[in-house]
Amino acid sequence: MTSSQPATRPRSPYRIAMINGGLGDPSSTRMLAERVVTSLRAGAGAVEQIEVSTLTLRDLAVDIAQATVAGVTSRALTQAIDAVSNSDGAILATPIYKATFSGLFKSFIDLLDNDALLARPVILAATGGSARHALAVDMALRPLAGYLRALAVPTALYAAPEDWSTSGPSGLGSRIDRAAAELWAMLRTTVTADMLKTSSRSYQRTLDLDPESEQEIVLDPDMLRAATGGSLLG
Amino acid sequence: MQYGLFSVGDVTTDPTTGRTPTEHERIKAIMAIALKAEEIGLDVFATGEHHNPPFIPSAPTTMLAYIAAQTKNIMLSTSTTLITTTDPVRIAEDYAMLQHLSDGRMDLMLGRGNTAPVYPWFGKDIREGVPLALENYNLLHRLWREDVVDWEGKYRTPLQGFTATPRPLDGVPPFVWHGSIRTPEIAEQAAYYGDGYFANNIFWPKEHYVRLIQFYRQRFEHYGHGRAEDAIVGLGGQFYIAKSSQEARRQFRPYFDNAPVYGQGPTLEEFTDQTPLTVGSPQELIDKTLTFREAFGDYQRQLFLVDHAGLPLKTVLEQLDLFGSEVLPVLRAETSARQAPGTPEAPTHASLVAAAGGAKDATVYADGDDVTGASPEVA
Repeated sequence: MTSSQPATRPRSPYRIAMINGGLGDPSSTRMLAERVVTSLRAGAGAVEQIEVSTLTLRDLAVDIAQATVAGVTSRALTQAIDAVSNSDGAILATPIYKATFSGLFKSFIDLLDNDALLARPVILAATGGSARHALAVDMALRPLAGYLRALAVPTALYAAPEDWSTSGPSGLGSRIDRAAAELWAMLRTTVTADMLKTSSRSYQRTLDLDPESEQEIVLDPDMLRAATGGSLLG
Repeated sequence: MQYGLFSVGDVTTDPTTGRTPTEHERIKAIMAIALKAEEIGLDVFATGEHHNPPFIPSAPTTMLAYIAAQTKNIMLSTSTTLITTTDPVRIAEDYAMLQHLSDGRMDLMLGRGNTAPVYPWFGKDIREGVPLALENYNLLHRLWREDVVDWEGKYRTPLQGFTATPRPLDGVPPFVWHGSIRTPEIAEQAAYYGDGYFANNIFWPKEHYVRLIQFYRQRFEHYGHGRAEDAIVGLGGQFYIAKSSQEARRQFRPYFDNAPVYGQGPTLEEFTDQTPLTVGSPQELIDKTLTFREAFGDYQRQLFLVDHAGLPLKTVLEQLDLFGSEVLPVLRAETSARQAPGTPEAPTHASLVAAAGGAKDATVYADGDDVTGASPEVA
């Protein structure tokens, strides 16, 4: 188990991984995610504060399938996975199929290291064919974020076809602004760095294999002792 | 620089004929491949260790002892010896015996094993794999260096006054490599003891291995074993060669497309582009292999996987003949021309004996015991 000591780096731009699980092109899921980004940039005050990696999973569908069954990760997929691991926060956007997030979306999440989004603020966003899937965000995506030990913002985003024409305080636009504002509020704190730093020993971490990684390799003290001839006993 | 083979030991159907060899045929084929490796002048032959079908090498030291008896020069090794599920006492005994039988022509590579069901068959738990490996090796290290060991650990019953026999040949323990692809704890342990570190880089782009090898090198220096660039690094690779790259691809494609190890996933072209696999002409293999030192630094041991995916023995032997005549001499010449002056060689028994100040018999002569009442010699 390695621990990550967050390296010092400039606090802006904030790196946001926008995971778009939409299958169409154009896709309403992508539209939703992009509106979040627009709102986030507006809230941040300066466009250059937010650096977005757009991960369009439909373009990686074959790579994701091959990585899943053959264990061979293409360069493009590696870049996408690294973009998530190196992000300060993320937008998880997926269509809802058969009561939950799409299989492609989950297959991509399955390829991430368990700690890829550890302690990172994330927005949960989904689109669907009818309003009856709205709770899937809270009932399916939010537990997934919990497994990833990400910090899901309180406001869940769900867009059914009719939501694209709503307005006003309960409309989709204001919910997007609220979720984006929540993400921005969390991004500006030191909560991610503090959690990783103060609790580094208690999280299982995966070694970041990126040669340019900012993650410092620090062994758990018990493992370090065992690796250097010492005992694991008390 | 050492060049050699490592065999996984899989029993796989030949997709071009539909024929699956028997275990007996495959075991004998691996022996024939090892003898061919000696014949073409390779430096190392290593066998894997597995305890589940479709793999046959459950008893690596038995296989390696057989090869040792029929060869004169080649080093025998493993890829890997399971340090988690094998009692370190048995590793100490088995490999010291192999060391004597082969007159020091052996070393071994330790690995954890990533097949979860194997662990409980040996009373272990894969979730404890890393600490288990670390503790077991600490014990193994002592068993070869201390005549009488008192020991207590977390995972094994304690030892009181235990002497592993036979004692290492000439008083010099076998050299150990630690195989790992993303576990810094293992790299740390390899560095701490000044042992070798082997990255079996055959499935991922090389970028994935750079970081851990750098880490091992830095820690090797940190623990005072020499400069980072002098740390002892080994790498994997795999190839299928023919006179022309078109011919190589045509011949190997059915094996690639059907082999379980490649998962029927990426195309041959994608896989060769992204991993160390070369399917092409001898020159392509030479060119690709020579890029490894650019990514990882000068290193000491290059092992190739050649006998897998259902390739028939005859084909593997032809591959090795072609490798021995057109690839190996060029690799040797080019590597020595390119590598930094003073790059150390991988340790051998002779070099380890020299470093220890000469050979000394390490026999522990026992007092007469109350079972047999006899002693070979009471000093």
